[in-house]
Amino acid sequence: MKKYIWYLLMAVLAGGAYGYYQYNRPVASLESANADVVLEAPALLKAFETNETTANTQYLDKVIEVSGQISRIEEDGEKKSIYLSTGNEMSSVICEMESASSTEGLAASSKVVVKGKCTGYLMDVVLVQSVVKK
Amino acid sequence: MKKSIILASLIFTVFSVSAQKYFTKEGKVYFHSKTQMEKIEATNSKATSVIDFSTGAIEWGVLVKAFKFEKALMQEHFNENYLESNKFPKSTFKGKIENVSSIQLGKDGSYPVVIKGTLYMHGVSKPVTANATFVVKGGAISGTSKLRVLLADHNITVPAVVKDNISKEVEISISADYSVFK
Repeated sequence: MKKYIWYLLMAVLAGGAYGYYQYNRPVASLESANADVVLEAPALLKAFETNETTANTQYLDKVIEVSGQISRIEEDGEKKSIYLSTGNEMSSVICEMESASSTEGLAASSKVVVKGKCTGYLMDVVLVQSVVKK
Repeated sequence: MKKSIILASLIFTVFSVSAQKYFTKEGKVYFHSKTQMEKIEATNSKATSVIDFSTGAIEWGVLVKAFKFEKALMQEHFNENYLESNKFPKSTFKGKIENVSSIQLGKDGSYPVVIKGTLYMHGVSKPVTANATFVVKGGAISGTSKLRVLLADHNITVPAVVKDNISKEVEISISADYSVFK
């Protein structure tokens, strides 16, 4: 009998620890995530310009590996964003970088491959949690 | 001579009209809900906003999925259960700065204004009025505002089990540094 109480206690503790872990789990990094889609910045913008609803079902929440040329890098303290040229002056693919991610050695007109999670389209296509692919 | 004056004034008019439009793609939207049980906060720093200071028209757009939470589970619940971001990927605000003429873009200062408009969130549009402040400093323009939103107004329902964890009214703070729209 005593043995069962012991087991029960262990199960409760394990459950509690799992719950606590789940509750405090941070947003997972994309550093080692596999890309769902691989394409170039102009093609990604084009998809949203052509049919936003279709593009949303295709790309929202997907990890996208997008290649392109940097038009500018926006820095706000620790936060950095890479703007990729699309051929349309008004619209970019904006990659909000993961806070620890480095943009060292990158500048306007550098070619780059970035992996990020697609959040949708306003005037630009916005990727978050982005990391530069090496 | 006359022609060139007309032309010059025409160019000047076009120029001054275009210089009245400002925009940002790096606008910040922060919200928090605080109850005795839990504090929930999230930030989005990729909001887009356009203002036409000649008419007072102002627009904001924000992607729901670009809100960042400290805890992954909160972010998942926010997207999947509350804002349903697959169905409603963006929220927008379209409105008008009521006393836009009080803002002097050429003169440094802090200008309090009232903005009236429509907030579209979770598929529901509601009229809102907010106080905002524009600051002009050395040609740069920034704006800040705060508004309170009732979740029920936007058909966002909180399940009974967590109703003590999430406040019924959420305070949203927005801020942006605007650049001239070319």
